Amino acid sequence: MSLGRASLRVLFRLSVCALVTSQLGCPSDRRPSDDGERERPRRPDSDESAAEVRSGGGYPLEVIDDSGTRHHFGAPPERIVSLVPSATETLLALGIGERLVGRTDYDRLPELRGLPSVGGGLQPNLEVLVALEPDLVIVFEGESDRATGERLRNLGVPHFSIRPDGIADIRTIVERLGRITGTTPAADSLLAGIQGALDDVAARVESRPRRKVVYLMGGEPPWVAGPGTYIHELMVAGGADNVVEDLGGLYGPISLEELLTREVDLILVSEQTGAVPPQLSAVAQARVPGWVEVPGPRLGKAARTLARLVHPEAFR
Amino acid sequence: MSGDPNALEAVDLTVRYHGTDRPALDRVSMVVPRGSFYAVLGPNGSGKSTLLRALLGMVPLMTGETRVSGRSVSEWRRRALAREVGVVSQAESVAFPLTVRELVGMGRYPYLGPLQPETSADREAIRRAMERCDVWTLGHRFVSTLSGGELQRARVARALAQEPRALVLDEPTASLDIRHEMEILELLRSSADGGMTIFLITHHLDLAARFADRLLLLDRGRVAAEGEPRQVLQASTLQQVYQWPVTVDDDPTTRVLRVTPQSRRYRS
Amino acid sequence: MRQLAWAGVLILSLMGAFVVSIWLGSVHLTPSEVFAALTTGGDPVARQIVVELRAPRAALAVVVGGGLALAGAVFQALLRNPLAEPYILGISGGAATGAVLALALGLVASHSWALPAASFVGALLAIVLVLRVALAADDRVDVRVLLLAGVVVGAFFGACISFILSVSDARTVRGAVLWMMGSLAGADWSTVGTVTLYTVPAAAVLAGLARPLNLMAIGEETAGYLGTNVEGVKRTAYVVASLLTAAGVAATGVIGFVGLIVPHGVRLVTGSDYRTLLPLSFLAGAVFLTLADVVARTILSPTEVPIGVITAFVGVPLFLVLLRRSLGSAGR
Repeated sequence: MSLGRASLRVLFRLSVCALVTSQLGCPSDRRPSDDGERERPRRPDSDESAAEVRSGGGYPLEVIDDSGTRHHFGAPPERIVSLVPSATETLLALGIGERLVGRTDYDRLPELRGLPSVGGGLQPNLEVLVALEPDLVIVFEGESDRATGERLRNLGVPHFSIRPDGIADIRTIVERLGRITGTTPAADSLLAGIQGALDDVAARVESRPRRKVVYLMGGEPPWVAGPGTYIHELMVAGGADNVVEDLGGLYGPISLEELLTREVDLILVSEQTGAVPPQLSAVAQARVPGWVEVPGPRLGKAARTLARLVHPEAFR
Repeated sequence: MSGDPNALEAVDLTVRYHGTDRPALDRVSMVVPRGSFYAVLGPNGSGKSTLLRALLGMVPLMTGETRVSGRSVSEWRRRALAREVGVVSQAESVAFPLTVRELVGMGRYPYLGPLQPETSADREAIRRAMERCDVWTLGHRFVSTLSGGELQRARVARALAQEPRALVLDEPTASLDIRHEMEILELLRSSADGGMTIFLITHHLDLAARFADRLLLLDRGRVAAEGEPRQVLQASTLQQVYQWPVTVDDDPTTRVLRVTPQSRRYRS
Repeated sequence: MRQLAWAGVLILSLMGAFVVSIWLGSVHLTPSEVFAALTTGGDPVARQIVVELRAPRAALAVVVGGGLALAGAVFQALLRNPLAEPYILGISGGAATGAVLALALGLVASHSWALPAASFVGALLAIVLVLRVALAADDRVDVRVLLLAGVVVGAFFGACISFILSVSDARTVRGAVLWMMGSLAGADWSTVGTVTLYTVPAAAVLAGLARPLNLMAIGEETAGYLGTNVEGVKRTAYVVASLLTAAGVAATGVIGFVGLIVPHGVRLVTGSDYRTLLPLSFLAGAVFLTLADVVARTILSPTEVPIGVITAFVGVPLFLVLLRRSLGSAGR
């Protein structure tokens, strides 16, 4: 048998595979307790959220999540499992922590310790999750774990996708979660608190010259935060210009040489960084507490903390 | 086909290996009559093993063809050929632990389908072959624990278990002591007497003369001499082929042809 | 006959392992609850856990574990080396490269079957590449070159993976590493169906090669003299065993040690006759992986230990015990 025929045999099997997979790979909706109509995936911004709601704020209501799926809620969810730490924090901040029935291994807050864990947030233990009989699961809308969403759909578990990337997303999440759980007044006051904190910070740093800052995470060569990140938004709100804004993107490595050629007033050092490279010791540095990096409802406090590091004199 | 007198035949064979300057076999022709004991002799590198491989269709030929039982070897299907000719080749290394019984049992594979188990006829053939080669009592032993002689006898048993019409052997007694060498040669001789064709490649001129009906002497890929032992084993021919002086005479007590290499340096 | 007795033992073990696998898990279920879940009555949540989460997982462990052990046995014959295993010829490297690339490029966002398909294509690329290199001038497969080519191609794919990961974000890296450690967590009935569709014909073809594979053990030349179409057998064995491995890896990531330890262990106990080695290896591999999966998901519940870790931690000592025992008796 020549190589040609061996290749043909391989190709034949590949086409059989494709054919079969396309037939067997279609997920079937078994228990439509969540009417998940799939729309074309898009990221609706907060202006559209008002248009999404079909009713006047009470139940029943309809919300579209960050994967474009439309969700119907006939009553406030009573058994919630959140696989996204920022959503967990938000629910606690909205005062409905008692409705949480499960947590992930990464939720270390004392209030949650008594809850059963479903393992990791990205690939949760489905057995435990199903056994908790949740009526709402909040999942992370991300490309690397589409499988979890599909498996939950196949199992008939209602899951709501969120994507907490930036400040605007946090606002949307707070508002949506408030509406879904029927705690809109708490959500509004939370949002107001956030807005107040942001306004306060803006007022304090407005007149000051913008400082040139870079946000350093560990690694060799060191990784830095680019313009697409949450921490970048906080830096900008806190009166700083991101020195590596021109590099674009999210988090990425930068060579020390490149960093040294740029003018840097302040290096913000992430908590996960070990030692700062000695070549940068001449520049002013400040350590940032770990919780500040994580997008969540403590956004206002985070912005304030960061701004205080950038412009300490504005906070005396 | 089966009535055809010649068990093995080579017609005008030329074989050349990649990257060598002279052909391994150069226009060689020979005929092995059915039921004869045919021995092939020659110095190292004269093409003996290549001839064996060519006869069984294992090397590509530049010219000529080889025939088994009258049919061109390229027309034979592998399994049918294995039922016709049993081969004991030189090199063999066993990669996994095998018992002697399993090794000899492989001689019956040409008769068995992919999942077909051994029949009683197969078991009988295996037992007969093992008894003739005196390895029946070693059946349960692992091949790696056998001595050189025992392993060689087992391999001959495997070839016999194929119940072939011809046996082709490449220096089967190379590392054997006198007793085991004689045992195998006498076994081959009695098989030939029983009608089986024996094609034997060997170094031992004396023993070849004693047991074989016909000899073929190769020299650097060409036929130097072919015929009955006394015709082939002439001192002048041997000296030319082996590049060493020899004396050829009859042993006074046994009356068997004897070839004695002369000593160049040491006088006895 | 000894082999039949062993077959019986393994079949019973397999059934036992399957039962254990659907009974034990992160959520505690009593045997009566499990039984009720299997028949139509019982708690719907328990039914969902047993029928849609645990049972397909156990079924996948059976098919993939058996397939990997079978492929390992075949590669050991093909390469004439008892230390050969399915990944030695670069298949795992190709599959992992395909999967990691799919993750890094975000292809998984559009279709959840993009990941197994990409890893399968990567494996195919490795298979074809290695075969191409190993084909000598006269179109024969030189198994020594096959082995070297496989190792080199595997190293090349390893470098590709390192490169892709070095320029990817943390989430992608974590997803890739988890995939490469192997897991049965994503098992659902459609995956089980697809993998079975590959495994059954492949196993049938390989079972038919049992005698030729026996002959390969005593050398290609001798095998030819005993009636084997050596080139055809080499190619068929290589391609079919490789595809079998590729299908398993596409479904579960790279689960190591099964293809190495199981056939070698079976060989130490029941001999090297491939007519019995192949089916017994399949059964033993199925039992091994099923039980390893139970351990993987219960030992640190609710977190899952990657199954490749379990197969190594359990398999290696087990294998050493078997090895010492056999060295004591006659034989190697």
